[in-house]
Amino acid sequence: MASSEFTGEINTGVVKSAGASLSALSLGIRNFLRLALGTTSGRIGLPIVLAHAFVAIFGPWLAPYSPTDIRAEHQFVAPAFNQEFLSVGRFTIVAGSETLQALDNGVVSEELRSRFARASSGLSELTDAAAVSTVQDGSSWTITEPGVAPYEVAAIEGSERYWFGTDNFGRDVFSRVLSGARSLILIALCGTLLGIFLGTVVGMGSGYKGGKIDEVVMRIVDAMMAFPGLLLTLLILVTLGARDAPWGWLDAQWEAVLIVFTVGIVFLPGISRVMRSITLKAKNQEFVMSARLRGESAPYIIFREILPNAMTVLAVELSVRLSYAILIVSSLGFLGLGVQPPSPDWGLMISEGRGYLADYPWLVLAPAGAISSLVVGVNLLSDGIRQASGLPRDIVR
Amino acid sequence: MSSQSTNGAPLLQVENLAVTFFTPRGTVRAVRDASLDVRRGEVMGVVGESGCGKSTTAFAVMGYLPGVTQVDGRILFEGQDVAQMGPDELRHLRGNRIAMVYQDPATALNPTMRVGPQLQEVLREHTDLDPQQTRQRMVELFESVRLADPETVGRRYPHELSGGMQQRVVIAMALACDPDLLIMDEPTTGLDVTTEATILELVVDLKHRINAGILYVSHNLGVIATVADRVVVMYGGETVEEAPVRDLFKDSKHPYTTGLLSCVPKPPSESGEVVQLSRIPGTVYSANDPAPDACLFVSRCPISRATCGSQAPPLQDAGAGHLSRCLYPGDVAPGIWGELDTNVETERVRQEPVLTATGMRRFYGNWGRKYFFFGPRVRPPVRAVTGVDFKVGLGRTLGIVGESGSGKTTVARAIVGLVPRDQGGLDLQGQELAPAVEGRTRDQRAAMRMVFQNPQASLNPKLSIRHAIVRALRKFSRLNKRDSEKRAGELLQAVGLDPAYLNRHPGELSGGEQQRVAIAGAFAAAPDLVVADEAVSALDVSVQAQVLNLLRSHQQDTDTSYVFITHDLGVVRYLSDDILVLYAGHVAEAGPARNVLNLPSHPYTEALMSAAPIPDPDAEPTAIRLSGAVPTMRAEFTGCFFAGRCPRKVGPVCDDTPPPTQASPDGGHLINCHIPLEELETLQVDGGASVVTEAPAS
Repeated sequence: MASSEFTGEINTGVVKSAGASLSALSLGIRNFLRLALGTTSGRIGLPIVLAHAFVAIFGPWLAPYSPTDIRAEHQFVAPAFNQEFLSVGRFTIVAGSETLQALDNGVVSEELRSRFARASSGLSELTDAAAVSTVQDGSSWTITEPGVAPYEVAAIEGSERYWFGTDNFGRDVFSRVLSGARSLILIALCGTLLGIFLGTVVGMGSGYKGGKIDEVVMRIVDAMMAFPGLLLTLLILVTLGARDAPWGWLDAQWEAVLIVFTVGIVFLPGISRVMRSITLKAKNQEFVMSARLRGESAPYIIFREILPNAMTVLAVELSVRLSYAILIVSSLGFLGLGVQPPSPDWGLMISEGRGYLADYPWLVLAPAGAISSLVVGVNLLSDGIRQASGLPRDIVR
Repeated sequence: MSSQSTNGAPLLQVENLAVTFFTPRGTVRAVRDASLDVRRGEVMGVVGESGCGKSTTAFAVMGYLPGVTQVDGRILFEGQDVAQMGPDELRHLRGNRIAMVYQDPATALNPTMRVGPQLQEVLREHTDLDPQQTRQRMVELFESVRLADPETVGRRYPHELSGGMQQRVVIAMALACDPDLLIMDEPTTGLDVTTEATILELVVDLKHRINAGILYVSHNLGVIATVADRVVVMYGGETVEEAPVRDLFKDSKHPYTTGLLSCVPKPPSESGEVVQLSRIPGTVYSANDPAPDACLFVSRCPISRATCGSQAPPLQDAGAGHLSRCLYPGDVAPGIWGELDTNVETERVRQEPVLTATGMRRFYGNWGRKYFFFGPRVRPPVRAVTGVDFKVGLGRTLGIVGESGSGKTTVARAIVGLVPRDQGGLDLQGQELAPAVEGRTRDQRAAMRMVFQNPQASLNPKLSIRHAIVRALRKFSRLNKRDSEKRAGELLQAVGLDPAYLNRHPGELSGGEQQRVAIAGAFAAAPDLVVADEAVSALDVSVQAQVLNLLRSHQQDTDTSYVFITHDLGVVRYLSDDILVLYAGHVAEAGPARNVLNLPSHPYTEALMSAAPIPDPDAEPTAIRLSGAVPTMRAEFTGCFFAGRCPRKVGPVCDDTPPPTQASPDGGHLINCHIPLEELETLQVDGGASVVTEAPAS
């Protein structure tokens, strides 16, 4: 009896503390939702961002095809929602289900016929459509027409769904877009978080210490700021990217790690200035003085007393910087400095597809649309959060 | 302009005004039922605690209400309903007929424009004067608000003027178009007590000179007693009492008014008795709650009966010119807030002082050089505190008074070590303290705690009350986590708060509750000395009384010593055993409270006491007024530190010789002045120094 009561007490204790941390988490989520859904731009931006996050997590499983599978016979297939493929000689053409139906009925329409002609140059122009006859045998049709040797049209591999079309290697663009989300978002997010971490430590530490240390640190930060961001990125990637990873296990991710590191460095000056100004303001507030009188250490005051008051600014910083980071990472991909082919990467896809822009625009449009919708979504969300928390428009330079 | 007599038809009539704001966070009933009228040539005072709808009523008269707002009731200006007016009529009304003076002159003036053109802009907008006449009118206006040098003051920028001069410019702008109604919303709240006195004098003077009605909003009963002819008391968005000023202060007919009056610290009587402050329990009826079918004051009222909880009282005639929103105005008497103890000041046994400061000095900044890093030294540091000595006895309170800029806060911060002193000794019970708090030991930090001015800022808004108190306990006492939680609850109870408050965040507490939490945190480790820097200045008078009583009773129980810094002489009188009067970083006068507050006084102390508004309309008007503000103390004073503003300056000796320290026979009372003590006393008994006008701040 007594022992069971005792365990009961312990259990309630545990449940209580777990409940407390859970409720703190749910409070955080509720606060975030309140900020994010407080304005129209937030209400538009949040679903876009959530959709991208969903794709980033589940994309590879959602992809209907392998993003790296090469199918030479399916080169440059135009986007469509449902395609049937017919082989005419050694060529494959896309045909809708109504085409197959028409073939079954022995009808070869003018339009279908002209596509056959284009696909297989051995066919000549037809003058008398009425004379054509088709005979079905399994999944192929024999088409007979006057003056031409009978030829065989075969339906191959059932039907395919290349929603965004295929590229020059016959890879499904839709699958590549879905699979490319994860690396981009992950690298951009990690880079931004690293930047926020570094900026917070540098800015708050230097602002809190003040005096000569602050002066020196801030001049260094100014110097970093004067250096163009992309140039700095290229410099780091070109010099360090050519070397091997310092540890073997890092080899596979070496490029990604470098990009995260560079994005963090590029963001450090801007974020540290914002955090410094918050610290300078808070430093003279009475609750900080009160903590100093208690004899608290500087890290305690910075991270436990001042940082919680900077969370809304950090949330805005995070979301604004994230969209910059996405642009930086995809630019690097475009320049070939990021993920290497054949890995699916949105920037890389644009780079690969730009040669075919005139004839097969979907190679560029699909990844470009993905990038821009993500950036627009993140921007809308950050603007919404900023408005809802009542911060001024120029909080981030 | 029509010249109606004072007793004619009211200029402004507000009838059953109700203002409701619909905000995203809920409905705020800022004003529920306000009725008042203003006649020409009189000052109508509106008084009440914060959150009672005073300012909203004033803004409603101007038609300046933001957001989604519903206004019920009628506002009649010369018999015309303001709500029926079109936009053009309203614009004319606001510019030419009704003018407003706001609380903060620094934000009412455009900092990038010289004040002259700002005033001329108003004249151009609302009158047909040609440029020559406009200039002339500007000079007239500056003259009429008693600005020194009216010809040239217009060429200055707002930041070149002291707070009092800025407020004069704002008043001149309000008077520019000969308004019929002048609305003043707390026009002296942000100003020093000395400046406040000169502005109040101007308001009284204006009342006699211009044929306009003045609606004067203030939370300060002393100010209202000085300027108003009739007074309306507001509570919870309702006007609860209206009466001529003398009747209101002598014989109020609403328990709230009586309570407010008994919360104001009064001057001690001849025998040195200090009357305890009464305590109005609870807080102001929240504007977020809908009106119940009951008196809004019922939960705080000492004379409430059963009917008060079931019937909303109307504003009705309570006899002798009073309107009162009380069902039983006959029951209202001065004694309803309980018998107030009088504490006769007991001379405590002189013991070793807890804290001794000798020659404490603090300068801000370094010498500025001509070429940034090089060249001759051209800009001396600011001499915030120059060699101040004081002692704080065991269980005694040292009050430090002075205007803003006199170095009070620097002294407080140098004591606790937030601002390291750069010279002088500080001795806590025989131990020499390091200048900076970081250099002191844990026990030294635990022995000296501080309560700050602004309760909102002294608690971290993102952390719970538990954090604020438990952290201090864990830092200073050797309690484990569970014990300190328990102790934190006890501490909250000791300051009159429910231990359940531990889980709340500062934002959920009222200002008074926040300050009590801050005090609980300061007392957490049973300190020997508590430094309170303007700890009650930001609080409403009823809450201030609660906090002062709390501090006082705690001192009686534990023999804690206090250093209490304030600009409010009433508060100092109430709490202090010893007083230190600071001016420009120098000690003007020091000694036991009774000696300092009685004659002879240093001329500065005399001026401060003379300026403090007393909540008694019959109080004799005092004559000493100080001009300008405390100078920026970069250069060392060649003569007396107070010579620049002293109303009793005796001659060149004041300008070229630092004043000697004169001690009373028993040696406890020090005055730094050239005038011999006997002579000072005779001068001050006779009173009558000339009133000086506002001079530019240096």
